[in-house]
Amino acid sequence: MKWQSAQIDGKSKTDFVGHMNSVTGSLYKGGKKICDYKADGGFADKSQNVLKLKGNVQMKSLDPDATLTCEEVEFLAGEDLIKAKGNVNVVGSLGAMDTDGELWASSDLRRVATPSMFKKQ
Amino acid sequence: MKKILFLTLALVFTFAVAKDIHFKGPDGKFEFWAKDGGVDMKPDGSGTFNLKGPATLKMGTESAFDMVIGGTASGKLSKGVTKKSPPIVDSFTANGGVQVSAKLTTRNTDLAGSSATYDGTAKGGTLNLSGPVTIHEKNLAKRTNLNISGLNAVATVNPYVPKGESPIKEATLEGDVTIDVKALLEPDDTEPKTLHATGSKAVYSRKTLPATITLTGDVVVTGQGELEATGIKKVVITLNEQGEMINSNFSSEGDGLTTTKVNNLSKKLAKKKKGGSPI
Repeated sequence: MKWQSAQIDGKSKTDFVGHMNSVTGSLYKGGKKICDYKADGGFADKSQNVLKLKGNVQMKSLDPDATLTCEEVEFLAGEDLIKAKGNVNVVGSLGAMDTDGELWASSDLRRVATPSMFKKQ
Repeated sequence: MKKILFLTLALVFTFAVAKDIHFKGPDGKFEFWAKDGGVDMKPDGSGTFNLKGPATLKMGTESAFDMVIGGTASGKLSKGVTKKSPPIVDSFTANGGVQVSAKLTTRNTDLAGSSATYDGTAKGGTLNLSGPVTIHEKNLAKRTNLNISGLNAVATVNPYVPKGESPIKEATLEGDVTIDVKALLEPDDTEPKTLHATGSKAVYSRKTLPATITLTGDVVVTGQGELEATGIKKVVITLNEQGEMINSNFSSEGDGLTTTKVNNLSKKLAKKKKGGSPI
């Protein structure tokens, strides 16, 4: 994860809480990079395994090739769950999905659904 | 009871279709709008989808095969025939009211039921509808309005037909089948003639032209005026490409033998032409 400016509070050697501006980074699954992201701002809580991105959020999966854009994202690493809100668009080689509301997705963007339907799938 | 079920079905389709979520496949041949929904795709293009209605599901091209779903639907997409070809709908189930609309230049055909299952390939498939089931065909020049109802139906459909071709190839309705036709038969007709027929099985076929509807099984026919005919084995209604009724033929012992002999109108027709149209 990279950022231009940030306020970081260290809880321990491995845990931290940080507010960042102009964020870029990547998500990994099983040690393999599966998604790159960028946003105007972000908040990370390492102890909770939560990453929040806000403003011109863009997440780009590598396989399949797909891009999610929205206004706000909360990524729960423990559940491999992206919660995207506000003008959500997912466009890729397997199709396109959009909503004005909320979409949930897996970090590889293969699984995308409204929240109630995501739980059922 | 049947009327109540029909009303319920009609109400389902009067809901405004939600546009909360929209999915479009890579080439636009599979698309849905729904209140809730999602996809789970594999890199090869196969996957699954789930919807919660009111929803519209579109298969094929040119809006020729649109489905309105009142309840929920789930299905499987299979990868395309070639590596670059788009995914196709393998199968789905839908409930809570399902209506398939085939919109053509000169006519619209709606096929509706309470629930549906579909199994298909890139060349189309079989749609099973549970009742009450209706087929409504409307000639856009307003010369013929046709309704067929039954308790269940099996339809052969091909959503991937070229523009202008009927995606509903054949539908067999069974159980308390009713056919109602209102048709302007002559060019200067201003009031439609009516035909009401009941039986146990109807086959709506657009596999070849002209299209036909064949009603069999304890057939009873009533029509405008005093027409009432029983003892009929089969009624065949012929429709042209525009969905206009061009002929109806009643037979008891094979095609062409008219046995409508209940009242004055049918007597006149029997004299006029064997196997002819009573309306």
